[in-house]
Amino acid sequence: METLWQLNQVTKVYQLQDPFGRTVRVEALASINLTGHRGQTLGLVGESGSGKSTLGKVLLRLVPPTSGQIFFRGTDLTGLSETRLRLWRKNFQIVFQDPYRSLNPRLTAGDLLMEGIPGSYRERVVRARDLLLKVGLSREDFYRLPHQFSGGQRQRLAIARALGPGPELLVCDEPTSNLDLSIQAQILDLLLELKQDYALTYLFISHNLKVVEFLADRIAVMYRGHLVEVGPTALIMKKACHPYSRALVASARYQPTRMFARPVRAGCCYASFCPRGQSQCYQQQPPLQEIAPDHQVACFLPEGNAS
Amino acid sequence: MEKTLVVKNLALAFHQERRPVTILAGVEFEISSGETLALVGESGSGKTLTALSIVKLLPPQARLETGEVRLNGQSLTSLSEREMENIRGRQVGLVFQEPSAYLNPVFTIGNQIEEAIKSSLSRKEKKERVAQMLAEVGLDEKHYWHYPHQLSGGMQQRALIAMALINHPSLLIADEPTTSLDVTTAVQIISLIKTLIKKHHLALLFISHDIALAHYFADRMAVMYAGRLVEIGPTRTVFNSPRHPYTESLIACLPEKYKPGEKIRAIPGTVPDFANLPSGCPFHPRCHRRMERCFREEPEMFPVASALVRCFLYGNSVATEPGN
Repeated sequence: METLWQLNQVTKVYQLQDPFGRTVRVEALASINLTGHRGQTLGLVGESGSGKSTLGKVLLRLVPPTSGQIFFRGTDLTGLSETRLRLWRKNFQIVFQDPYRSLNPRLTAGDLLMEGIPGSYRERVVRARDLLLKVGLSREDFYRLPHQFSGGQRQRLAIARALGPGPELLVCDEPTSNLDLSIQAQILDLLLELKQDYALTYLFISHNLKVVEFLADRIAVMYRGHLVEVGPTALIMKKACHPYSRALVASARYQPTRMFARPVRAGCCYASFCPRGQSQCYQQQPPLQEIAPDHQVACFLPEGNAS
Repeated sequence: MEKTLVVKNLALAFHQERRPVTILAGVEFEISSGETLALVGESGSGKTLTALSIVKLLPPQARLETGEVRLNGQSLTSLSEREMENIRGRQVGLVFQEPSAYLNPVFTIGNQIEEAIKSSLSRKEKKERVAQMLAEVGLDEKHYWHYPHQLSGGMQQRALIAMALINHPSLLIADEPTTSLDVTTAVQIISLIKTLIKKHHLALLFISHDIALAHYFADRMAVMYAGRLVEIGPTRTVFNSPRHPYTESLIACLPEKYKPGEKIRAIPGTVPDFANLPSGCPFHPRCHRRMERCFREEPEMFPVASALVRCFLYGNSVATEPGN
């Protein structure tokens, strides 16, 4: 399997001010190691605030990491200047959750698309028209403004715009979370079709495990800034080893999991809620370790794998 | 025995600008005590307005055209606003989507739950009642003294459930109670509601856009499209052998019904705008089994097995044998 992108010990710390003016350190990403394979879909799941979106943005260097390296096709993006980085940007694009806020309301669909397409004016018009049709919009939509589209159509437009520069990697940050079930199905179909036609690699970020299960080849589970488990989709869905992944899978099947809540200040990121915590868990964060080929878990006591 | 809630032939229109826009038409259902009815549909299908019509909390431009709502045998339709205030909270509990929006940030949780008590009790009795309710919804005694911001979204929702149930209502209306919560929390809240319904023999109207969740949770299911109920029946019947083409297509949109890489059978087009409803059956432009008459006439509800289905495939039609 060929590696397209890789995060190496990537950390992102936000320094925030609390209402009293004190500085608060928020570790959004804690030493993340993650690899994306070319032509595959990697699903990134976790609850809100777990750092999924930050990971997506850091990968595209929309947000600079605090430390660590980002490799894309073997090149370290962290060392590049903004000017050099701009030349790389055509290779990786992003689709956001809310197409109401991520499309410029003053530009027509045609202008929005043409912005990202290189070449002469003629070429750009032709390619923008093609893209519109490709994502299931019509020729007349070229001259319409974002507010004249429905939510689903707007998301199609956002996808077309991301495809304009001809990227290899597409980060989809909750692209269907705001959409109704019937529209979500249309967009998922579209993403599958585009992946085949343009040989795309996806990083698909979602809190909806069922959508990720359908779309992804591999799943990475995040919890409070830490990657807790990474593995092939079928394995995570059937034999997840981290207690949090298990809770997620159970919830997707509407089985409630008992949550323990004890105040834990140090140790594993999941220690406060884990049903299996041991003394070690309250002292340090377990590292993400390979417990089987292509299956990594960050847990001292992985379930179902007790030796 | 009289059902807890009976909704009959409800029709609602918005009166604004020149002509009235019909939103709900012919909405009919019943819920008996201890039973959960899930009202499912996509956004803009009229689910929430149906719930608000029951308790008469409608926006000013909305008007009930026809229909009757009966709660424990009493008709709510003719009641005055003051009389309705006695119904809400006392006989009907309400839980909504965004818990933080329904809590006052400057009062403690216990204070707010206590304030919802409508019967005259001494302070001590009220305190005891709140403590008992907190325990029932899985909150700790100490949360009595906590302010809303000190609680997580799931705990806030638990507090609101406590508030909704403190007067022992006979009907609980839960409008997307878990939509803004994380999945693991959502499932806990759902199972809490389920336990409380059983324990207190409540009738529950559960409104959700998530048909898979409704399937797991409800005894009966009503599917709504463009302000009409298109199918209503026992959950298992509706979910496992959907009769209405919309129900069928909606269930076929669930990604978990497919193997990875398979194409989802998505419904073409979008939900229609109420001001511009298609002629005949409102679903006909997106329907894969439409017939000629669907363009002209709107079907009524026809009984099929244990369900009612609003589709000409199942009644007063000329020898069209519905395949399955």
